[in-house]
Amino acid sequence: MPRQRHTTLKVVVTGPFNAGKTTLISTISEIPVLTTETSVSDAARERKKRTTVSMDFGRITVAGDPVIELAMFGTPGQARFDFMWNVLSKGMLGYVLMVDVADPSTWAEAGAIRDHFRVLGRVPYVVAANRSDGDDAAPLALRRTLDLPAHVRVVPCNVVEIASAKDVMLALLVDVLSAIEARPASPSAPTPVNAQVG
Amino acid sequence: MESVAIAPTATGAHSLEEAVSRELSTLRMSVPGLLSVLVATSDGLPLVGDCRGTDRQTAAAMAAAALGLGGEIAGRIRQGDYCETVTRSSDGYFVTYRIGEIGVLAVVAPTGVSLAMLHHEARTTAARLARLIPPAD
Ligand SMILES: Nc1nc2c(ncn2[C@@H]2O[C@H](COP(=O)(O)OP(=O)(O)O)[C@@H](O)[C@H]2O)c(=O)[nH]1
Ligand SMILES: [Mg+2]
Repeated sequence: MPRQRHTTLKVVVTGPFNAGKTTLISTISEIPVLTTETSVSDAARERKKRTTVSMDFGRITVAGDPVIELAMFGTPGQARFDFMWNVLSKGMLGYVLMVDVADPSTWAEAGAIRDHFRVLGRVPYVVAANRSDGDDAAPLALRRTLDLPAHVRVVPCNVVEIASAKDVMLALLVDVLSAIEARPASPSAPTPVNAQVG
Repeated sequence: MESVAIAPTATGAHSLEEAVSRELSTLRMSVPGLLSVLVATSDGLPLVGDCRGTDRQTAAAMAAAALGLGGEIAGRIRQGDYCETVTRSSDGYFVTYRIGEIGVLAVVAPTGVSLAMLHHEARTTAARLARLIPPAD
């Protein structure tokens, strides 16, 4: 057996309440997902019965050389949990901004979360336009509302489906890898954890 | 098992709040010097009380985060049900106690507090609150 190089990349999945963050990680994780969901006790209960209060954690391996392990950290969505955004973003190399594209009333909040994350890390992000169901107009409208720079990708998806959830993560991975390549060697910048497995 | 019988006679939200406040006052009297006491739902909404140094919404969310993560850790390593988290800092404590299936009791205490006494009293308070507060479902 040739020695396989392994790299672990930390990425974060964030976005408003009910966007599909926990679903994305649960759909593609190859390990049992660590979730911290508990019952919703306020009016938001009508939209969803359970909510993430601390974090989700899952992992997916991408074959290649090196083998890439994406460590996926999901955040709570409500602004009252913004301290967890700060905690979970430490050392992230990129993030998915998950948005329910079928519910434009949540888009402004998605923009606010993106603004919070932009300050936390100068790393690439992709926008997952979840529940797009083949609708092309809504993702475009979302791009305009979020006033996204041209290089930030909007990935239409339905993350209950494995193939669609993988599309989102691969889009992020591509941007993360090019950002790492383009980065001038700097001791203070976050770097992937490299491990040699014999 | 100790048996503290507290019938959930309180019907309106207001009287429930009063009943919870009474439990918190009892705790404060039993453990002198506590800085803050807060009861929150397990999804991080404040019910009664506050937290020095931050707003009660954030404090409630932080307590729920500790409860949620602690519960997941306990489950994963097969150590049963989550009980409490002690965050000891250079200048004091932030301790969270699970209230049955419904919420969390958060206590802010100074460095000088007797942690053993705090645990003894706050665990009793949490058990009494668990019988007092109706579950969300
Ligand atoms: N139809 C559909 N439902 C979805 C999709 N993604 C998530 N959901 C549902 O939306 C709800 C919220 O998802 P969740 O992952 O808990 O959202 P979070 O608050 O962002 O973690 C759940 O009931 C999911 O089953 C999707 O792609 N299509
Ligand atoms: Mg979630």
